Amino acid sequence: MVKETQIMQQEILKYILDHKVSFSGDIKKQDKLFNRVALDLFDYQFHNNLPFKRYAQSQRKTPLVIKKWQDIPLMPIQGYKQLTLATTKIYDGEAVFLSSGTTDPNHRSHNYHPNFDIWDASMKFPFKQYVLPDRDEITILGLFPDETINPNSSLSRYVSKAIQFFGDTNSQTFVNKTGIEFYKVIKSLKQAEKEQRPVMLLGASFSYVHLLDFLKKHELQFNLPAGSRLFDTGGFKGLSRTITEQKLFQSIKNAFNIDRNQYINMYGMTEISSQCYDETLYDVYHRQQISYYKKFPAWVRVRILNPNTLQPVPDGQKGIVAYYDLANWHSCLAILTEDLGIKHGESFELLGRIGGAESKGCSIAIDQLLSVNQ
Amino acid sequence: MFDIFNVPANIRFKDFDKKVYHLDNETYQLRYPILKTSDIKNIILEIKQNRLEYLSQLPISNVITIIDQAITRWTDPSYPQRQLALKLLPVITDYDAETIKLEIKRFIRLFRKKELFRFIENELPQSEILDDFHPQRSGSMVKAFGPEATFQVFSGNIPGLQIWSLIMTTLVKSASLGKTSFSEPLFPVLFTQTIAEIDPQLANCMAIIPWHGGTVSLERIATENTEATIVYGSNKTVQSIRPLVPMSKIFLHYGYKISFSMIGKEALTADLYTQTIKQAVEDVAIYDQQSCLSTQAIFVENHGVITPIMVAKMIAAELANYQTKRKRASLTIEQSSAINRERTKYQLENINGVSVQVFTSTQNTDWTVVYHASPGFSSSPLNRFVHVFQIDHLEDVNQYLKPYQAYLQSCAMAVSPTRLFTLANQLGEIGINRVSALGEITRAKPGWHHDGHFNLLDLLHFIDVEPNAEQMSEKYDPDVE
Amino acid sequence: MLLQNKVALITGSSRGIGAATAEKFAAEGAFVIINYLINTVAANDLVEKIRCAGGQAVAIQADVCDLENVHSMMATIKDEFNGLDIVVNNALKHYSFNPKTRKTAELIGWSNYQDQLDGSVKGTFNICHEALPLMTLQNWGRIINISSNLVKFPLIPYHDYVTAKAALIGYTRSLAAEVGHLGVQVNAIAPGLTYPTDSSTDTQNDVREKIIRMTPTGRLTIPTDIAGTATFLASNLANNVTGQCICVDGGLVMQ
Repeated sequence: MVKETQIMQQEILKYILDHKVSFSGDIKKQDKLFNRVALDLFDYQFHNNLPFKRYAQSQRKTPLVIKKWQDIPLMPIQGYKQLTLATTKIYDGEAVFLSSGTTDPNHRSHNYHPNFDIWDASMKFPFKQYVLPDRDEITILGLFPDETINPNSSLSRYVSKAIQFFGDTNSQTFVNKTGIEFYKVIKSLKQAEKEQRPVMLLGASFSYVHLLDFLKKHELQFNLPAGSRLFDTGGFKGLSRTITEQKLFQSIKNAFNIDRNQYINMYGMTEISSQCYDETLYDVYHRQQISYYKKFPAWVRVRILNPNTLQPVPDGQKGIVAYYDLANWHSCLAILTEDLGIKHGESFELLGRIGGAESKGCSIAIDQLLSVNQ
Repeated sequence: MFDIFNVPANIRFKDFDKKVYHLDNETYQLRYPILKTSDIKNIILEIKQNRLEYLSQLPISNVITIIDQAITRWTDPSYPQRQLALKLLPVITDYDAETIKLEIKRFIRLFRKKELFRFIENELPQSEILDDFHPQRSGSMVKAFGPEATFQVFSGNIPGLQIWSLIMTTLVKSASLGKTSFSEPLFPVLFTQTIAEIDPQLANCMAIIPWHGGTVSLERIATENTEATIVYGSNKTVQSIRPLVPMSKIFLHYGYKISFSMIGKEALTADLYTQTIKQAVEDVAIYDQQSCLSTQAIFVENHGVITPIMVAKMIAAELANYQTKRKRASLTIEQSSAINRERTKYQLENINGVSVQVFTSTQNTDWTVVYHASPGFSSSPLNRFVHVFQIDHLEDVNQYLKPYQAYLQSCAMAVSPTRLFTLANQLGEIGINRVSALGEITRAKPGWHHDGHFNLLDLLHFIDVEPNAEQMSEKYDPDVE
Repeated sequence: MLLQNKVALITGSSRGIGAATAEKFAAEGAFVIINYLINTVAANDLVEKIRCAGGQAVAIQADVCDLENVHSMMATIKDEFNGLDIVVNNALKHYSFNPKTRKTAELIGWSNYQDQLDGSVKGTFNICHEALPLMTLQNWGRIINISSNLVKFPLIPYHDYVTAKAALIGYTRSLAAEVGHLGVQVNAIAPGLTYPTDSSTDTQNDVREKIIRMTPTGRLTIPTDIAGTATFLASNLANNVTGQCICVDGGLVMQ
């Protein structure tokens, strides 16, 4: 029986509320339940989204034959650019997140959201578990535009919600249409330093590149109190300047007095509706062996696939990240990303985007042709 | 342990590095020197000096004979260098061993004596003007000179291809500094060893060494101290070397190219189609499209007995067969992902109602055929990924090729005699510089104007002694009356 | 499992050899399409039986002798499965294998031949003609035609039946020669007297005993024997086998 839209959402929401804290409780039972909800959701998406149905059919993967979540057909990121992936009729003014479209400016991913009940729940609990394990609120200084400036960005909505759910009254974002308002950031940092009030800087990787440059130029350094942290998303790889990780942490330490162990990276994207985090802060707070790898929420699974066969690779081997996200109820729950990763047991390591392919000689490969013509 | 460099006897290196390969429980260590700029400088001085003392005075007929003798050795299956090449090249390049064996055998025969004459006669009025002054129709006496030394940047995509350039520079009596790529550093080393067996003095005018492309310090020294630079490889490579070459010096480059095939309806009759399909697939499968001569797209004409879509399906089936016969090389993550990305793009287009169909190997990236029901053109992510475009009349292709004009090179054709030259003429107009038979696209023939240019002429400069100078000099002959 | 996720169409499979083959294919992981002409109850029962055993099957009614019927069945298959991997042409016009009542050369008329040719060859042609475009899309396909060992050894000369089954072998080979290029393999199975089936119930005991005496294995063929060979030909175990005819008759015919 194909579930109705409302029932489907309720089922997912219940699953999320029952599994707020990931990697706890009866894992086997949870896996079984995840499988059931995932198959229900696949069935729902298959029957309520014609382009997805056609895609699944073209892979010869239909609800008739799929019995395990691992076999659910993976929608490539490209699908969010070329197809309309939505299980309900898109209404006028419906919220939609667009990818920044840096790789292919003509095509941007579209992820529609008729409501945010599941999205918000999916955002809230892992944030608490992995970003603020030690406290309920903190001064959040956002270096990324919020949703009023950037209504079509999933990251902007994320920043706004982080401040709404977890920010104290001193929290705000410092980006206007022209860029980061450095002087306001500095004022807030000075204030926090003076009051010995821990802060969390929250931004995309490139925001920090600019901010660190600015601070260096003006010879500014802060001695932020213990408990302060730096939250980063995206990746420093592939930016205009490549910075070694070590150098980056050193300059973060110099600029803010924030340690490597107070740095947290989030993995998220336009095409999905949940986030994964470094388990670093969680480990520090729970006084466990510190890991810098990522953990996913209970409603997410991550597999690392061989790019040639699209079959899973053994732990410790590089491959493409396949992301299964129950919170992505409205489009596709299984996504084939364009990111490289390595699985380490129940955690995974993110290595950044897969680059373009080059031929060994004069035969021009399409990736090169594109870059030549750009 | 094997050295993947070959330099004149007087050159010594201190520090070495090595690459390690494994084959059937045997380990091969390929040793190469860690280079300093002074090494390059010394090598060039040495090969130039050797050239001055020897090659520059060696008659062209002797040069040809020595090369021919070297080639003859390579045609002997028991020749140790050949055996080593056939053993190690599959390990280094990951290309199918049988493909390498067949293609090296074919390729080496391009440079036998008679073929070398073809190369020369194709471009020079007589080969002897490389040795001495000879009268020309204009009345002048002319001699041709090659560069003292030529810096050659080889690509590693096609095993053995490096010696095409090496032989051409030797024919113009230039010393050679060859920089090999680590993707295939072996063949030119083995070949210069053969030259050394026959004539060590000639071999002393050549140096073959690998280093990592983009090492500007080395490349700058090499370009500044030679008179000509030839670059094979990607535009990235070309662009990194070009600024290093002084304006006054010769700079030749063979960069990005795309080749394609055209199948006329006359090749798709019930009796011929199986052969046609086989030939079409050869052009895609040999060296996994890494050669710029390889087909990336095929135009298939309508109204044959076999429809273009059936041709696409049969090409797919033939590629599957080819995989069982000669495996494709294994790919990097980037290469596999590029194939998956392109497959996805067209599969999604198909879902959106665009009339394309994607035929693929199952559960891997071994081969891909994308069939387009409306004509167009597209390049491929390579590694046995080919586009098939249905077209009503082959004569209409130019409009689809036009946007890719700058990159087009070879075209393999299966058409009737009445159409061959009409189509060739039409393709020549937009810059295609070679037409071969279907199934033969990866095997260029001696004397081909590579990328539309000369093989020897572009390296030469000439001196004309005008008749009046001759006449005047006669006057000063004390014995003349 | 040998046929994991393969989609298999078996014509005339509500009972007998077809049903046994369907069950075996399903047990090997194939999604089985039970095609039948009249017996809806038997077809649905078989679907149910397969599902209870953990397999997957659907029943589709279609007269294989009617091209339009076949066409619409294939349209359904394309829509539901986006492909077809295996076809077993098992359907035949009803035939009673009764040595006593068989038509002799003198009595038989062309219409008898025509009937059998229609049942065996035309039905197979229709199915193959419609199935090939689906198979060639994926560059993989297996066609298995059910012929008879009587072609090689007409122990009892059922003229019309034997002629039609012989024609089917010619069809099998000729088709195999053309579609091999497209990744499709076409083979035939020549069963001996297969008992029990609806067609063979009229064959008297003494005839059966006589055949058994002549048969090296000392028994008649049973439906699951055919299903086994069909599974082999449908699976990757039979890679690069095409245009062949395998006798499954306990060695009665050796070639």
